Amino acid sequence: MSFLLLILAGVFLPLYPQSILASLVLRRGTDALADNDQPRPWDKAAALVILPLIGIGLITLARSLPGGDDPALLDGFALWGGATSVFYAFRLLSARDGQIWASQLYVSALALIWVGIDHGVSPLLPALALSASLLPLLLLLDELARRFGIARIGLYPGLSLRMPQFALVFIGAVLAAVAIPLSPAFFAIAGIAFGGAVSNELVTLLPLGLSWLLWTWAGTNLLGGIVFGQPREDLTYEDLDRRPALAYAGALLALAAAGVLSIGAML
Amino acid sequence: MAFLASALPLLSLFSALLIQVAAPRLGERVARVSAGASLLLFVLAVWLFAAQLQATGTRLVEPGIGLFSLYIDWLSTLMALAVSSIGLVVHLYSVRYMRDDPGYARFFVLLDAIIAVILLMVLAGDLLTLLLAWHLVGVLLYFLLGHDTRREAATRYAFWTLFTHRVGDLPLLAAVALLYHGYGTLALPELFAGMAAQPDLTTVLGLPLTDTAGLLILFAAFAKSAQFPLHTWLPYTMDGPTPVSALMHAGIVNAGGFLINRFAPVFIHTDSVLHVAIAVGLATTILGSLMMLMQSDIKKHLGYSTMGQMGYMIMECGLGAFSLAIYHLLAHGVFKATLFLGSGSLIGQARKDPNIPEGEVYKFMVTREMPRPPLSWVIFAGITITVPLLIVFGAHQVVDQGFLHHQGAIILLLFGWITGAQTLFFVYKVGGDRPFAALAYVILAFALIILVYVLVGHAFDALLYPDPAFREALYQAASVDFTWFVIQVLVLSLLIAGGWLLVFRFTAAQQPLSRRWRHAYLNLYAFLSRELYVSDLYARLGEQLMAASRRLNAWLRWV
Repeated sequence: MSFLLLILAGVFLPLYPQSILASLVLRRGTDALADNDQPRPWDKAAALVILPLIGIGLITLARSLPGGDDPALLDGFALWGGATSVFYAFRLLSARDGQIWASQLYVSALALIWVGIDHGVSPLLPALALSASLLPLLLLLDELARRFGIARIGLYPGLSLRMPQFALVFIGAVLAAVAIPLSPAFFAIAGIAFGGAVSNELVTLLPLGLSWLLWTWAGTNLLGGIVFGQPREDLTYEDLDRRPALAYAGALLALAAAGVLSIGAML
Repeated sequence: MAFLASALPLLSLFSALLIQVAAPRLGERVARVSAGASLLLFVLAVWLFAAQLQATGTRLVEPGIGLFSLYIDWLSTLMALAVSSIGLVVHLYSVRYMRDDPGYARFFVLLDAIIAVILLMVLAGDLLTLLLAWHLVGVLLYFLLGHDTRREAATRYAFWTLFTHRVGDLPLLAAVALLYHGYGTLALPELFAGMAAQPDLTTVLGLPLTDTAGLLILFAAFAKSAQFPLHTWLPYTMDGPTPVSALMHAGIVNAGGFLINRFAPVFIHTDSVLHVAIAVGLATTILGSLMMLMQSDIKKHLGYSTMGQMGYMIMECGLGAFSLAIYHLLAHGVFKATLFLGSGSLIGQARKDPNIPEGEVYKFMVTREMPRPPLSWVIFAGITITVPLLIVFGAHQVVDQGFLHHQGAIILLLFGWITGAQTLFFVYKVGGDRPFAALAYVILAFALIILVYVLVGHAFDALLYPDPAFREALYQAASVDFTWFVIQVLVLSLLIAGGWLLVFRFTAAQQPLSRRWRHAYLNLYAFLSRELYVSDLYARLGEQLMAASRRLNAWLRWV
């Protein structure tokens, strides 16, 4: 029973191949199955936060049952989670569609929670930190889709020159998503690394390090294809208004503050 | 002192935020605001260093923001002074240099931000702050190097820099995780005290913790300090603005030397780990210097020169001369920043007026006229081989007799010998009307430089590591078996002396070695001019990984 619950948890704290469902939900919002093309950012934002909580709840339930705390079982899921994380981080390198990019990063990031769970790291704060760090990017990608029809690398480069306010918050959002300090995701990674090294440094640090390295590469691909470069002359660019720009900047600063303040609890 | 230490990074950060918010209102005055903050930063750094010189111990300061702390000791205050002074120079230079740049305000925001982060790194009092600042330096450098967002080349090379720095970030994360697990603390003073009390801890995999952490710290340092084969990013950063190149080559690239010194209390408990630093540093200094000779572009020439110098810095750490590495990076920072900032003017002047006085140096370097070597090559070779060795040996004996008991010191003496001999050989090769007079002047200058170098080096040793037992422990950690060491020194000395005799003989006969073994020389030249194909290899690897990722995604239908 514990085993089945853990497998089910792999839908919400994504493990490949169950991750396919979470990935689809994130790309399309709650109308994923209805094949609705309209992006619904707040639905996806809610999914971003709720899915991991359900996963953690299922894991907690599984571990409370007899046999649920078997080290061999948890080791197996930790390896599976680490492999899923690296697998999706590798796939992230060639993702050019913004929705696919965000969903693959989500899977790669949340899969690392399994590594932490196996080594005694409490999953709730890191999971929330990793999800919340992705939230601004998800919303900004939807802004791009609203303006240009699709959020895609390479279609409309040079936003730093035509939409400077948008570019600035977009850069902050990408850095937060790929766990650059002071993003909560950075502290989550640090917390998993510090806590997991207690039990097995290789199983903890190897997938963590590889995934994080590949996220950085993918993040620069995203920035290079959207923010940097020569802008197109045939497009109309509409920058963010001052108020939404301030709201995004405030949200990013709040995330940074939350990360700094939560590190004590995560270690 | 606690207030001063906290104020340094916060002041620079505040300046960055102020410029970002008020740029539309400030206009071109952003530069003056930023330069003013930089000047104030420098004054505070001088004050902090002066205060620490009078202090008797070190201090951990917790500003009350999360778990972050700052560590005030002689190393951190000296480095803060160096960073703030280089930052001031770069700021003042940038005020006019960047004036016509459309991203004028953005440049100063990033400049202030990176100075803030570097100050945080050198003042860090705990592993988490150090890790965080270490990571952020690479990220901010990426944006500075990619300042001209329209140019694909700038973005590409900025990515190379960030990726290489990232490769160095990960070993540091691993080292921090292992040290935290082993000693249960993030605070540096407590960590070092715990390590001194229990140096024999092992990791979960049964490896010695100090050796494992030491090795990981070295790898992190190698990436930041452009050691071979993680050097490819350094020469390609010339697409960034000149002030950024100056800041990078004078400041940021020295981070590896600082990191090794910061973790000196870890390295004294290691066995053979520092030998890795010697090997990598030596390879880097030789290859960097060779590739420097291949360059026709002045900035790339300087870039490879930095690579060679960084290799030497890491090698000094590997030999146990940790404080010498700090002295080296400070001296290198000053002269390299000067060279970079002057290179732009030099290029401009050369475009207007390429005339160079047609003296002996011109004939030698430009028209390649081989002057007739003066007098007997045997006498000159004898002087070249013996005099520098006597000067270097004598200077050390005068200042600190005990210094030459250390194996690392002997190796450094050999390098001093080679440097002096190289200078005297150049006098022989250029020739001129009064070769022995020129030789006398060069020998006098060399002796003075070496004496000052040894005096200042000794002062740095006493400042940064006042405990003689600790200094001794560093050299011990770098030492090898005595018999093996003696054999190495004898072989090296014979090779060096024999090599110079060979070079003198062929120069006197006006038969350059490069002509004698032309085919091998041309092959080597081609290989080095392609920078050993290392960057080509990395680029190919990157392309193949991207292609594999695309194929995988396509096969899985992107879900």
